[in-house]
Amino acid sequence: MEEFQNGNESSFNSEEADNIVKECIESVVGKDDYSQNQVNKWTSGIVERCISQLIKLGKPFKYIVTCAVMQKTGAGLHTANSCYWDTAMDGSCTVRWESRTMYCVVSVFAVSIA
Amino acid sequence: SPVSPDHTRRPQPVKLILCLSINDSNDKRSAEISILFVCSGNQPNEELKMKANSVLCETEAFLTCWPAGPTKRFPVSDATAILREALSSFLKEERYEVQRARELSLTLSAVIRERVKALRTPRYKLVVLVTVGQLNGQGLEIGSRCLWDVTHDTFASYSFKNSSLFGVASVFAVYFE
Repeated sequence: MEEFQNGNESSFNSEEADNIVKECIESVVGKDDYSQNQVNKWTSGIVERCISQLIKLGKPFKYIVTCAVMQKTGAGLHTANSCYWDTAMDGSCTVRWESRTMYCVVSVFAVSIA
Repeated sequence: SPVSPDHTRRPQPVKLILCLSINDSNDKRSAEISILFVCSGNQPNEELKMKANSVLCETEAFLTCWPAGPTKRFPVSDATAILREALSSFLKEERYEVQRARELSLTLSAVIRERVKALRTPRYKLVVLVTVGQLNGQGLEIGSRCLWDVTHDTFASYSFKNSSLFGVASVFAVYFE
């Protein structure tokens, strides 16, 4: 209903992007164990699926999607980002996902063009 | 739209030739428009000239609003050099440790952002991504895809490692008209 829409329609909705990313990760690697042969296919598959789902939202944004897939061996990993943009319209979301054998970290950056 | 002759006077046959040349180099765009009157007999009257001038003014206003693109393309090689110097200088002597790696990734992303901003590329928005991790024999792959304008938008990337850790930095530059 119109009156319950939150804030500015044309600014980035990170909750919506979060759900899209989770679904993309699950559908590409949800059931698999880490495999060095497959990892290239997985990272490409996840980012490409995320981009096509984000396009379907039909919003005036350019998108940058990054995915890191790492085997679970007890090693540590840290990711940070820093952006110079329009804080009112642009935004990002980062999803951390893990299974028994691997970690997957996906970041989506949306830069408005309107 | 055609320039209509003045019907209160004896009509003069006039041909109009419109010349349009557009220069579209990387640095700037310019256009030159001329309207040529080809008349038989008398000189073209003042009313015709005024109408032609107003057409030219409208066209100029239209072209001025046309998207122009960046005056300076994003310097990928300079950005790569910044990434290489930042990663090497900050990480060369470091050994992986949880708290330290966390601080390094945050510091590096802020430092790189400021240095790339200092390249002074007007109208480019920047996204800097830094990953610092432990070397433990694990497999790791980082990939990215972008939906953007390939004529103006671009990225730079660099990776570094020593005996105990690795660092990967990327900067994405998105043109904003």
